[in-house]
Amino acid sequence: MDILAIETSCDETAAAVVADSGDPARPWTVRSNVVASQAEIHREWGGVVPELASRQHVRDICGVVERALEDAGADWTDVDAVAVTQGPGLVGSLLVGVAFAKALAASLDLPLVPVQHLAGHIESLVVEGGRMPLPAVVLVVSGGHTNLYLTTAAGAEGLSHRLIGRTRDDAAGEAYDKVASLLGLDYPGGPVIDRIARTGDDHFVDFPFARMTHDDRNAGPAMVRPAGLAEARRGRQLEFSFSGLKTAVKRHVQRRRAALGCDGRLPEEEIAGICASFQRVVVRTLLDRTFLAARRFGALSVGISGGVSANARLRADAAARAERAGLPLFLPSLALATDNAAMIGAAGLRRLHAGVTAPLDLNAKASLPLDDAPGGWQSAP
Amino acid sequence: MGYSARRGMWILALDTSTREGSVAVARGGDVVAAAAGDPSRTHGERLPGDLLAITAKAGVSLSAIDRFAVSSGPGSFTSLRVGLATIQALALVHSRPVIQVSTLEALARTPGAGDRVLAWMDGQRRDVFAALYDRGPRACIAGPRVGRPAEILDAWKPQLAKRPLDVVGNAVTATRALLAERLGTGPVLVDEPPPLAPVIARLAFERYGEAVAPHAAQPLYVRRPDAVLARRRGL
Ligand SMILES: Nc1ncnc2c1ncn2[C@@H]1O[C@H](COP(=O)(O)OP(=O)(O)OP(=O)(O)O)[C@@H](O)[C@H]1O
Ligand SMILES: [Mg+2]
Repeated sequence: MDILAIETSCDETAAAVVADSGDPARPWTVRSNVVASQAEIHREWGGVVPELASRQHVRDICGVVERALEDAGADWTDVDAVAVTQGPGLVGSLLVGVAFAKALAASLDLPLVPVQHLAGHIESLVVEGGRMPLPAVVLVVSGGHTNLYLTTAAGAEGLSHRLIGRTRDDAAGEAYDKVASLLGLDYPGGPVIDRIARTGDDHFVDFPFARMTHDDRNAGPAMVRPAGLAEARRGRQLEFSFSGLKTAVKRHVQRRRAALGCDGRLPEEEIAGICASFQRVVVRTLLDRTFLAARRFGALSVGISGGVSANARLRADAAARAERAGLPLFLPSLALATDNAAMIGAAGLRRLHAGVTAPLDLNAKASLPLDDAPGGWQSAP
Repeated sequence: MGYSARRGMWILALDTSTREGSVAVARGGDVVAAAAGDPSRTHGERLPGDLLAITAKAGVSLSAIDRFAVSSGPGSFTSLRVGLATIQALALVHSRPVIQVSTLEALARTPGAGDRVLAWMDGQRRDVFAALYDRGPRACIAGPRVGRPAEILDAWKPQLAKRPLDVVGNAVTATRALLAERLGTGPVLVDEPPPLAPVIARLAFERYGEAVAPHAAQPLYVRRPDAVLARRRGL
């Protein structure tokens, strides 16, 4: 079965053709994967401008979809279903993809499969590495999210994702982008900091780690029973926070600018040191929580996906930790780390096989939580 | 293509420039089915359902449609894109071209008696989308532009002096007093024009040869993105 997938949740217009491989160990075959990135357009604004993103999606979508078919050597008659990212994301961007996908499904008389974007990021791990030993702990870390999931089997081939940790403020990718911007580096900041940090001393500045357990005595409701309080504390150990770190970098940069009497960029080696030191804190925080969760939930594998999973230091450190923990580690290739439609197609096929399709009045949703397990974050007290 | 061959062609037309919008099917220049949309639901929810319903009513399948016609705007950016993305996909699958029609021009081509028509749409920000036409094909005198109603009326004062004049569009109600003050009581004011999809279908028939590839069909925004406007103000 071949599914045509469309992804327009943010600033990439993407389409892909994904097929069942027939091999349960590596279930998906990516027949094509086309991404038109708008990074060049948004760079001069220092971030994604939603209206510009929407305008560009309407310009690119026909060409991207046609190219995905062509690269797959397919034509319309080869397509058996249409998958589309329903949310979360920028609603104006999502709507272009959803309207387009619905019209395709209607004219071809094919099933329409709505996909949650983060379920796509998780599925990218299976696309690349094959079936994950379950339960798995998966960190989805991108420009908009820093979520920890406990992924378990649901039915024969289905997956269920329970949200067990998330950020209280900035997402990790957002922190990368903001820190890059206050250092005067290009947008998106993640890849730039990744590159510059390689030449810097990662103990150049001693930036703080956010502590989610001890500093938080007043966070719980007053009347909770002791067991409830302990539970709440344990829950907070899996939370992330990056805004304090961002502020610390900002203060440091301000201090150094004042000391050097410069209003522009700091000297190259200082920037490299700041990038490396910032990145050390981010990466350690991400991996501490992820491997703590893996221990706590008895995970049989660990996955990291989303744009930040392209980070070289994160990948290297994660590999070392996974080896120490004796757990298989799943990472996407760089092409599947950032937004793409191959992951949406794979997640779409999985849902289609589980019997999930949408009627033609499907609407895009800017906010669409992923947590389909009972007792997940959304339903937690 | 000869005129007689064109007469047998099916045209599917969509307008999403207002909340309700409309759909129509025409055979040649004759509208055979049309419907206004339900303003309580978004275009995102209603599409492509409204198009499937109207083609079913007209007794024609999507694959038999020869030209897909769509209002290019101006209007709500998001609604325009939802309509356009829908039409692009239909046209792409069926290897058919798209004919775009300006919403303002469609307004100016709704039935009326005036020789000159001011298309006058609510811009939703205390401003209007406007264009001025002579009745008859392709006679745009001024615009399209977006701006404060008074500024536009002042800027186009000489051209607006020509009579009889019709003012057509959903900005009429909010600007009635201003229109009376600037234009007097002569012009006929039409606040609730009929659904535009039938007009768009007929205009598409007139412009049968001007179809474009689906990817080339793009909204006529008239207004720049806010970020661009803010930056220009900052300069
Ligand atoms: N090598 C890298 N190191 C660190 N961060 C990176 C790297 N490459 C990309 N990023 C970051 O990843 C983010 C982009 O991720 P992605 O494309 O998955 O999703 P998004 O659209 O921003 O958000 P979401 O998936 O949450 O909707 C940006 O913040 C970018 O800076
Ligand atoms: Mg993403």
